[in-house]
Amino acid sequence: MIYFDNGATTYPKPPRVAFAVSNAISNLGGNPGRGGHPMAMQAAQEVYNVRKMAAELFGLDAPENVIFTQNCSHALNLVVYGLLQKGDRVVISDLEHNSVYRPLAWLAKQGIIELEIVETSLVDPWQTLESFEKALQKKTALVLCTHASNVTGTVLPIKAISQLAHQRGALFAVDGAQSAGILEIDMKDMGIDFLCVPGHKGLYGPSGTGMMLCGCDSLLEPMMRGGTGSLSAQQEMPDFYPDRLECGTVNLCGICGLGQGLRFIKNKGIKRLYAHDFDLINLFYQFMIRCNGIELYAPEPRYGWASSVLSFNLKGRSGEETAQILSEKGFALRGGLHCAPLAHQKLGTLDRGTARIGVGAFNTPAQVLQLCETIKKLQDTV
Amino acid sequence: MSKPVLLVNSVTFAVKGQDLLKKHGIPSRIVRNADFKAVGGCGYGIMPFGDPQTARNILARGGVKVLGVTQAEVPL
Repeated sequence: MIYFDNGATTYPKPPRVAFAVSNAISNLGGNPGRGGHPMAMQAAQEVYNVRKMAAELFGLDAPENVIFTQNCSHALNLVVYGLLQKGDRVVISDLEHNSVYRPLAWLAKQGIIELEIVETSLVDPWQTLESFEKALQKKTALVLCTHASNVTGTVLPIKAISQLAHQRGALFAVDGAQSAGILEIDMKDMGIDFLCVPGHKGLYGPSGTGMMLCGCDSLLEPMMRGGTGSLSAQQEMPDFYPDRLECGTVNLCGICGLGQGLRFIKNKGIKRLYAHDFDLINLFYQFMIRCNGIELYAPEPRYGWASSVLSFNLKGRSGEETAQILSEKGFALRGGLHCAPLAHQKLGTLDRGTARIGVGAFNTPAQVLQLCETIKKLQDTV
Repeated sequence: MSKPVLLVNSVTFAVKGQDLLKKHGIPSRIVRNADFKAVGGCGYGIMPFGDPQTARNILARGGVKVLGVTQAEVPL
């Protein structure tokens, strides 16, 4: 099986990730932040090292503002439910994943917030900015948008959206599910107040890991309350990060694995990794555009404006059918709506979904060509 | 023998503080529950080797809030 479902989770992981998880289970027995004995302190040191690496990777000064979560959805929920108050207005894009859309749609349905969905352009960032500018004419508390669409791979002009948001007094949060570890992200330079990322996708960590990085002074209201190993005599949750948002024992093994994923990214270099992914996606696109009987759901990839996923269908087939046919031929791709109904509504594929190729660091041009040849043969047969 | 301990909010700040002091060439140890009351229950402190005021200044510049200073036995 050739794996092209890296948009869902990356596979394989760098060997050092598995080693770190195994090592943590075998040798890091203590609970970080819950004791003063050497084993607990060693665990605490390991966890801190990963916070520090993450902060450095994303241009954040304070490692303590790196909050470990279960995944990117968890991180996004921390921001949505921890920040928003009755009467707040929130602006999102029309490419959002359900991890952004569902919590906000629920708050809107309860009458707690007002939600505006902005129309983006898949080809022209300028048009996207004009839409955001128009939406931000009204007082807005939060702009929350994806960095890169998980359906089309379209990269949004994050830095310019951030400037618009801040000019209007809104906070700016980014869903980095399809960009963390794939595209360069500097929270300070890009003006990101909250960055939510998965650990198991472009950062090559294990499943069950994610992070919310806070780049502003906002003290989010905790979504969960419980033991933190600090200020234990008081009833309230601590008023400092990460303890305020991290109650209960953290996923030590996962965090150690994530640390090695971050090290992998650092050693390889994001620019190099992105160039690799872009070349593969572009190769796939250039081959497919010359193939009859293929429906492509993204414009020609442009360097810096396309992520590592792309949607397509075999003509007359749904996304699930296309993915199933390719699975039978030995290729792992994802079919369906990819938890992003807004994006499919925009593409006109809500009724059939799409198949999605998601490339990663361990894919090769030969593998992409093998997929392309297989698709071509399928079409010739038809 | 007891030495001054700078009390901090959490284990994260204790490790961060130790990291900052190390960068300035100051060795330190992390001490648990050096002053139970001062940290509001469970907590950590940093025992710097050398002048505690210098260490405190470095911590403050690095964003590590020192809740107070106490004394503790040097851990083994």
